[in-house]
Amino acid sequence: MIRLENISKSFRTPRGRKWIARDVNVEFPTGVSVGLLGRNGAGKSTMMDMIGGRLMPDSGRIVKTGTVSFPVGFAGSFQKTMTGAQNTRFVARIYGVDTEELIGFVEDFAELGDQFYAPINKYSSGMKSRLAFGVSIGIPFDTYLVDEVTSVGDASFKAKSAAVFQKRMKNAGAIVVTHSMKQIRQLCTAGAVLEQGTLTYYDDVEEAIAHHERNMGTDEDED
Amino acid sequence: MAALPLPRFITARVITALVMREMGSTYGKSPGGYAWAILEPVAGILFLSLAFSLVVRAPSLGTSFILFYATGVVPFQLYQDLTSKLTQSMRYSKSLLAYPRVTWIDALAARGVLSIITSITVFCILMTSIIMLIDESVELDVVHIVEGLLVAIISGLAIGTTNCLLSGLYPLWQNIWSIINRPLFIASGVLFIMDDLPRLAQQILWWNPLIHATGLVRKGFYPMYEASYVSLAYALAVPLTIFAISLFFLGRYYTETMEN
Repeated sequence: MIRLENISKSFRTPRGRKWIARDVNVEFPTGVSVGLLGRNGAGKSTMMDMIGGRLMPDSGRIVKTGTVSFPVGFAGSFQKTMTGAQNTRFVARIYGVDTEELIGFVEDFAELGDQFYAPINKYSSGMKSRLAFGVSIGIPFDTYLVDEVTSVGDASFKAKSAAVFQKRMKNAGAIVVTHSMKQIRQLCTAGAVLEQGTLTYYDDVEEAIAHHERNMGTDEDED
Repeated sequence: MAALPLPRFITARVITALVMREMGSTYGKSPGGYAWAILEPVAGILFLSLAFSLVVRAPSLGTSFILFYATGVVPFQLYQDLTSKLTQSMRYSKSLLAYPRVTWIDALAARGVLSIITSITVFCILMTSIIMLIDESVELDVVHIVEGLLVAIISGLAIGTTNCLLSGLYPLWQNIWSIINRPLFIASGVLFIMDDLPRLAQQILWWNPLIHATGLVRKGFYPMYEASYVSLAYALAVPLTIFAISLFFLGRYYTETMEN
């Protein structure tokens, strides 16, 4: 369960204060996959960062039971001079999972071959993404944060990723940000719409999508 | 896979992970690895001993040049290494700070812990070997040695944190500091003892906490040496205050320090 209690967050912009959240009170239940919807710049990523713990809200608090992942597939946290294996080992240590077990899983999953033991700065962006996805999905979090996960790899890798993710979703929840309504429907059962500092939660993802599309003034996908 | 443990002892876990990662990448890569941590001060001490034994007949204390310079070089290097490791700490762990579990203070603490442990280990190994090799009877006063090393550590924490903050916010600071820092080796009493100096120099250098550090360490190695100028209270209070202030501001501005 993740409960936002009286959360406020705003930024100063040249055109005045911009509210990401204005006294938001919402509870994401345990084990539910929630699609976080909102127009560009509504602050979906900022919201994710606050839930993940990278950003502090200006006021209010976030109560969490269970563990929350770092953004799934985010490669920016890898230390580039370290090898894929060393980065994996580091993540295993800070999250307290069995180091060899995670290394075994990621080595097998990310399909990097010998490059797994080469420094990250020698990787292509596709390789980095596969490694990042493997590391985050290899750890049994209670809630996964998925921010615009662009599918990587060939068709078989995509199928494998989707299968592993779905398997995780049997015991865990997720908060998903994506522009693709198709992906939202695939991954999520619930939804939440963020607009002008208010966050509205819907148990049914279709209601959330309908609300979002009314906001956008369109009933088509953005892309 | 076993269920993920709930957050407990996170800080200890994260610092351990950061330390292990730094050990792997700093000492694991260069040939010789950890041996360099010892070889570097050894080379410095031997060089100084050799050079000064040609110039003067005896060191300021005792008869062994090696012991005299070791008691100055090693505490000073402890301070120096700690300072430079902490100065770079935010940039060193920049990307890893993107994990919500890794905080700026973990990044700082991990580098400090590793540097201090390495320096203390080097100190113990070196001093033990030197005492066994030279034929000067040495009577140790451990309390003063520990006090001296403590002053060097706290000074390193203070200057390292301050430089981490200032060089992050103002890149020019690094150049300014390297100018200020250059005479520090001499001004910290590595090559001489305070009592050798004229009165005016003594009055000025007294304000440098590091000269209290080398004085205390030597007091611990030379029972006849009084080091009467030393004030442990001053040498701890000033760096501790600077350390506290810098930590406070680093906590506020660490994101900005990583942008440069």
